[in-house]
Amino acid sequence: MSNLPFFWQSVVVILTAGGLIYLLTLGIGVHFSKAIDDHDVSWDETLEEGINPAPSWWFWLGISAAIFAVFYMIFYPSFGNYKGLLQSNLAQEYVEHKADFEHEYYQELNTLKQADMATLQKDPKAMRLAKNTFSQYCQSCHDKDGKGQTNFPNLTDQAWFWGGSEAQITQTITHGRKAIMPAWGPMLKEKGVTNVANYVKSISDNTFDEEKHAAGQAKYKQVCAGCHGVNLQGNPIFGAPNLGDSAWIYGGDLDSIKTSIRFGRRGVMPAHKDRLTTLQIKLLVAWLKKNS
Amino acid sequence: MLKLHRTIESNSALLIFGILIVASIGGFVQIVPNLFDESLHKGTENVKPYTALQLTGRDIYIREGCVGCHSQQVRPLVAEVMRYGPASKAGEHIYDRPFLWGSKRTGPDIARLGGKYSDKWHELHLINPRAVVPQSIMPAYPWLAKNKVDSKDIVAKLELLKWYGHPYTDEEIKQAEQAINGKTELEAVISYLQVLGTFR
Repeated sequence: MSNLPFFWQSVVVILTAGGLIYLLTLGIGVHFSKAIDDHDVSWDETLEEGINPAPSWWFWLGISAAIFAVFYMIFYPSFGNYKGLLQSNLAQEYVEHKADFEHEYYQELNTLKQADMATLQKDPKAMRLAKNTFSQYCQSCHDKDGKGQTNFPNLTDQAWFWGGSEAQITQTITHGRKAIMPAWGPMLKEKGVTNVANYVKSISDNTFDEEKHAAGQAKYKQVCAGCHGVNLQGNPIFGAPNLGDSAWIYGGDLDSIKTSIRFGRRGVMPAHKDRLTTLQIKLLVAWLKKNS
Repeated sequence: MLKLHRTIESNSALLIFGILIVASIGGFVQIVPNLFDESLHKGTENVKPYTALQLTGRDIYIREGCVGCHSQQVRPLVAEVMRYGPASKAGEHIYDRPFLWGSKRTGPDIARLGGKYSDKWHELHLINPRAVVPQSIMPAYPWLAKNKVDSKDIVAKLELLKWYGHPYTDEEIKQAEQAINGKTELEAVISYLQVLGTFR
């Protein structure tokens, strides 16, 4: 379907129709005319040029192709701006196919839309759908089955950095999240970074070094507690992780913790509102809550 | 008629020239009139010319041959739209010179890649795809993180594109070199990837 100005439309029409007519006339004319043998050339003394008609299968194939082309141009949009008898239009076809698709699955999708979380979690078909959606949209970061990897949180444990309620997870998937852990290296200096890291690590894995612990705790209360809480419990409003448990996004060894404090971290969960339907998000939430 | 035929057939230069003309008619009819079809040249509502950094990233995308495995064109088919996102429109690509639609999908189509992953994911993935997607067969591009972008011809590039009609302001062109100076190729490529498909 094109939208050409008159001049160019005429060029297309004339060349297409003219070309077809010319080729047909030429082909038929040559095929059925009496051969005029005016070739008197010869090469290498004995090699002469004869005149033989084209093989008839080849000729008729050509003619059929030309006839096919005529019908094609009548039914499909290929002749200037003419839209064709079938009114074929890719955009329109897509809309129709989508409507067919939605009609075919309407009943099933509607049941899923109406169902509550508990019902979905017990429905193996819904859970399989959710897992498929997960492997297509979430797996590249959160890894197979959502167990996470360095830089990308584990979704199967109890730790939810942005909150683990149905509404909070839905919000996280729909609109995405942006976490900002500022770089504290310049302010804490290397000694401070080490102390705070030791303090945080000692709480999370219950090891204890009194000297470092005391120094780290003071600094922690001063700079970190605002977001991560006095008791390291974290704060889902900022996506500030609980530092007291064993769940770590960027690694829980001393070096990784130091890097996080020194340079900060920028965690980004992309928004999926344009990629997933409300139903898909609902299924994902049900699946995630079931697995965590 | 026969005389003309004979002249052409017995003169190889004329024959070659004639064949070229006849053979090019098909291409001419299909390509040239579309250059004058206004509806194909009107941008979509959100289309914007690439910034200096995105444009540099795009050139690196071309240099590394990404287009050989990744198409950037979602066809209007239900299954395809469900997998990749809304079908591509001509108006999204008015600032693509040349367009990078591609025709090979060894990797997935990336016409709607922008915003799908975080910058950090792209960084890890470009340096070593296996780090985040264990079954990936994409080659690693570790040198992107080490190389600094070449900023010396960016002004000329923008000026040429402006001459083609891309609406860059003089201010943008003046600051282009400064805008990308010191950035790594990785940053440039990621900034390009993150804008893909956001023009609809």
